Amino acid sequence: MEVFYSQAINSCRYTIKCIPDSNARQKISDINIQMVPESKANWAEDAHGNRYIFGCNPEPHSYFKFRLTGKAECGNSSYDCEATENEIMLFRHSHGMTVPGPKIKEYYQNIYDSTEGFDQMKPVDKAILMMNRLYNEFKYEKNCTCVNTSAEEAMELGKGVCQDYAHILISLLILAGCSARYVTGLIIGEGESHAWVEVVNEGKWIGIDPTNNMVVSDSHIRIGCGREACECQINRGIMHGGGDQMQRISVSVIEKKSIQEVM
Amino acid sequence: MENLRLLEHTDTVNSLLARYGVKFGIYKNGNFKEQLFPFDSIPRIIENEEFNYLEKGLKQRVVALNMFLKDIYSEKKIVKDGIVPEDFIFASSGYMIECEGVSPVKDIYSHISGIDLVKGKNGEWYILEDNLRVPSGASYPMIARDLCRKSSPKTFADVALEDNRNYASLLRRTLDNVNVGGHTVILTPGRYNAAYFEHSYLAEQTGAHLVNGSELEVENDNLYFKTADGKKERVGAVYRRISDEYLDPMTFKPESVIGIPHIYDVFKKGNVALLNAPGNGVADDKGIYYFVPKMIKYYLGEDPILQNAPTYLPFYEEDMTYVLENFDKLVLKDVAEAGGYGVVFGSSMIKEEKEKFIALLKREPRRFIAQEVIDFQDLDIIDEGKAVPRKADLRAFVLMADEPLVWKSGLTRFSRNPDSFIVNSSQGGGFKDTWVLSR
Repeated sequence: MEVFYSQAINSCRYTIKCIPDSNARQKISDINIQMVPESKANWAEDAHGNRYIFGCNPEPHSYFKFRLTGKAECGNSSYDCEATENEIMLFRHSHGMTVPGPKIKEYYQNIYDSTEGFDQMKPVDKAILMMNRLYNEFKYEKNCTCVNTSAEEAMELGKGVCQDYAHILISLLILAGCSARYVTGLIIGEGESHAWVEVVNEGKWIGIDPTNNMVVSDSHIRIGCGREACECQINRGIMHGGGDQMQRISVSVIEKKSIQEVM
Repeated sequence: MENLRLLEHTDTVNSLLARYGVKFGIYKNGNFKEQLFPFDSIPRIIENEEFNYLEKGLKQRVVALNMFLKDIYSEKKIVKDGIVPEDFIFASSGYMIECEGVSPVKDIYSHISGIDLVKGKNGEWYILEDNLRVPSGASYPMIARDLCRKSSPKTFADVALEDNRNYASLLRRTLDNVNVGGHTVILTPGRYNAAYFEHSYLAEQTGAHLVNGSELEVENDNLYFKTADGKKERVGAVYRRISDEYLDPMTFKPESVIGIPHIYDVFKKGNVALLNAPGNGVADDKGIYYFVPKMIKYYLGEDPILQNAPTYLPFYEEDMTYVLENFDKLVLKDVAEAGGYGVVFGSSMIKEEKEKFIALLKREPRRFIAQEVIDFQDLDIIDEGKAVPRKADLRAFVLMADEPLVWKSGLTRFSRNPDSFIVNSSQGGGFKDTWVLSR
């Protein structure tokens, strides 16, 4: 991640939340963090267990860079993180950007009415069913939504990016009585960070990627989670002085026979 | 009649209050207006024995509310045991995910609680509302008492009265109890805040520094106060008079300019105490109010000493039926609103309004509570030289230090409009001193 300032800023404060952690389905190693300008970062963890660093650059600068490299080994099939009782409770209530409006409620009702035995389906099957519908009926298009676009707004627009797909699916899953959460992460290739959904099925979290219409596999490296995108926002900063700024986030995931390397 | 002597001084006391800047700021139609907080010199008098009863009940309530907050942000046993429905926690705007798993110093969440009560015509006290976020108001009876003593010393020589000027020392004890090392500061959003007078007065009375956000700074994982000569000195406790959302732009509202970046991270590490702790809104929501007597039973195994006003939750089907059948004799409150807003009386609505409201109620039952209208005792005030009865409530202050403390006084607010039940100072009411007799 890089931030370019048109004029030097006097100081800045940052919180960066993009440090993947090991869990049942992925092993993270050789994490290396490089920052320009160099500063002493403090480590912390948020309510969802997402790790982050925070700190301050007290000297004037016109460029900020954060680079994280490391290795991730992702399990092939098992996405079996146990869901705790508190998680199941917390994530079955929509919040902020996933609160359904009339459009989403109508969309949900439509799926419900056209699916025989919907109530008896397992959460993961409900998720796959709704993902299929969404994938076919919602259009992937960049720059028509922004970070603050709610699920309802995106649904009305009928198009958006991975964040919008994820928010809508979470909203639908919660209407269907499931516990669902927003997940940020990386997928193989170069580009930007990615987002998908996790749903509780028989006491375990299962990854569902509505943007790619797939159940999450070993191609996904998980970074963090929350009820909605802003709870796992990659960075937040406050600067004093300066003019315009331009931010660039680039992600590169290279597959190595059995090991993937993240840069 | 010694009180009469005090009454003669009403104008003197009010002009002194004006000179000291005892004002209340209100926003009306987008404009900030400061208005005097009118003082009425007939005190509310509470007998010693009666106050002892209130004191026991208030302590019990605030202890249970603190236990509730601790439970909600950790194990959530009260939800798992089915006492409080999930919806009232996770769909509440007061529930803050950022507070999950965070332990405030000594597990105290609500250090300073303002509990609003009314006394019914039947002589019974009822709790109307708990204020566990940033309750204000203690400074007004403090300074009023001080000025009354000065203008009419003889009155006070003759009555056996609990001195209420000890609030500052109770507050100091509360602040010191959780200070983790360093200065104690009172953080104010500035002079355009409704309660700025109170911030400065409490700072002066407790000996804490009055600071604004720009005078505090986080370095690594500690909080520092920047002194006038450029030195940085550690802060161990912040009595913050700004709301949760504005406290830290790095964790809460990013556009906040009155907060301190990363202060919440310092708090999470236990390196500073915040009074009150963030996240308390989940416990003083009007919806949660209904459950407080159940909380007392659940956490303490005791029967509640003080009762709520009879309250119905349209969320429950049988309560909804009752509310619809008795609509005209109930008062309905929007749980998300405060300061006397979002309160409507069933009887005051015309037919169309009522139909519209009932449709909304059915659509969003979780958003409202309904209460029986309590016929509360009027208190006399002096209006143009004559004593006239007005509706009044009492805000009692409960402080959680090394033990729960109840201030033997309180803010008595009254409505200046004879037809209004709403006594909130944001709506232009006045105040009285509250005398607790010492024997």
